[in-house]
Amino acid sequence: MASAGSGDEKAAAAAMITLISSDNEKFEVTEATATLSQTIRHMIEDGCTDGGVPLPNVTSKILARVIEYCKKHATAAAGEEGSSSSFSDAAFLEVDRAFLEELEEFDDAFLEVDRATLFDLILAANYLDIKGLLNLTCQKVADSVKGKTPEQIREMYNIVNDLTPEEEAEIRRETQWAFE
Amino acid sequence: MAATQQSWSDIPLELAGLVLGCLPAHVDRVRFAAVCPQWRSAVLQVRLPAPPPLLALKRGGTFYSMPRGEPLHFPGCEERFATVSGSWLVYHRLHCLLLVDPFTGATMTLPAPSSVHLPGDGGDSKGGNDSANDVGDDSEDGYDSMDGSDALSVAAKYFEVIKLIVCSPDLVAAILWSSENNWIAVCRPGASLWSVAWDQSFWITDIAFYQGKLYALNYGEDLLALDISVDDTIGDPRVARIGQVIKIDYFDNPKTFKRMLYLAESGGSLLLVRRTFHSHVNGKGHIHTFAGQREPDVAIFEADFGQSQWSEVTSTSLGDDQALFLGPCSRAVHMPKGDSPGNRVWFLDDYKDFHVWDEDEYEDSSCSGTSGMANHSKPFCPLPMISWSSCLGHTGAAWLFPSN
Repeated sequence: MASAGSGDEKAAAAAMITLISSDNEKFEVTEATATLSQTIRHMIEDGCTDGGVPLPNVTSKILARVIEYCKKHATAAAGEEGSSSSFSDAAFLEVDRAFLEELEEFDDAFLEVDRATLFDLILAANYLDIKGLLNLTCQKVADSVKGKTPEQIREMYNIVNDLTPEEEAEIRRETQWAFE
Repeated sequence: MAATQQSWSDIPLELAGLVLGCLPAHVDRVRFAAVCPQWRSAVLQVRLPAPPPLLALKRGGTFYSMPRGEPLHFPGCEERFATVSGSWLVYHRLHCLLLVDPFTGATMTLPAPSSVHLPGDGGDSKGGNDSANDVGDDSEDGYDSMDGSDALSVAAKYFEVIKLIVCSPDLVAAILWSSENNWIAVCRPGASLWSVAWDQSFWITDIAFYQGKLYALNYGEDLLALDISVDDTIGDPRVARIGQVIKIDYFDNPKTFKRMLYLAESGGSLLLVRRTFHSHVNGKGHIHTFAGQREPDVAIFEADFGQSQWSEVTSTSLGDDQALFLGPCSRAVHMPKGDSPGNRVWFLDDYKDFHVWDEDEYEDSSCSGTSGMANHSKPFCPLPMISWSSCLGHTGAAWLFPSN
């Protein structure tokens, strides 16, 4: 939540939304946090959030992580807005950079999860339409497979190799250079 | 709780596409496709931007995947090659040029650069190819042959392929180097002769195939359009006419030959990129990247066909996610942010026009070309551990563009 801010922000922060996970756990979040999700934003706009927003595709464990992400990024966004009017350009840039660095550190730490959780975060980010989180998690997967052989990738992501021997031979024949 | 039971192999196509979008390098995509049938199908179904090229050192053997510089080896591609055309490596063979696509193994044969058909000449220049004399070519009146015969005899001794473009299944265009000048030549794959466009006045430095038409750029920064006609009887192409599209005539400027000029297509436009050198032409070759047009050493222009002029490209009109890879084969390629922040133009120290430069002036820096460059501090070298030696008139490296 925004720790400091104008009266308007406090008013916005007062609007709370209840999110309900697939295992029926309830999470109270500010509207600013919840609307990082385009899916929830549309629900709020349509006025169908009374009595809570059921999210049958997201477990409480994952929803808690998603909310942690949204809170941080909603706070950062609010902080940036708040600071823009009260600092000189140079000072603003300085603050801006500090925010970005802090966010980056947060994101890095946030992604320190096991592969199963990462997969669930991607699915949740997609379902809730949280662009930043979706990009972040997909980039994480991409970075983790860069420079790795298919075998290493399978091991890393616990994927069973169900290519037929013929398919595998064909792949090797066509793209032998990629496996040297 | 169902979600936690899912396997990574079942990742929805759309999400696999997002991950693939963060994997620019061709080799990483190929390996991604070999993990499991589902991932394979994702690679085949998702439309991805063309990958960045590989750095191909002409001495052969090792290729470096951009942007990380991972070294790769292609079976059968260990020897020295002459140049690159898209995904083709071009090798000199005794009686032909052999083109090999190392990614697919496809091959193509072109006439040797010494097998040229000159206007007014009876056949190929060396008589090395018997079929050449059978070609009906007595009526070569379409060329503006300036002081023709003298130049012919000199030039006929030695041709080398500097640049090659596979324009279509029936047309290949090239810059051939001979007698301290470049010449434009065209041929049909599988044919026995190149047809050389013979006109001394054109100091050609680059060519491009743009919107179905062949264009050439000379040192004066003039843009020329080449009309190709096809011989009715044997189907071989030749340059029927060279017309001036943009006239600059930059030759008077003393700095004319302290530049490297490139033609490249980007976002539907035909671009002229000019890199100016303040020091160093010797020493080891490197990759240098510039943050686009903000660099004083680099200027980018777009061909304005309506006004017959080059319009300088502003920082916004070169697409934000586009990187220009310039060398013997140049292309604009999509580069995701983060892989190469702020660097939009990637040059090779390819020395393609080295023979016309004044070497003496730079002799002192010949053994410290790299550090001299470092002191200049403008260009950024993304892979400083990779360098190559180049010799006079020879390009040391090229970009190799995988077919998507």
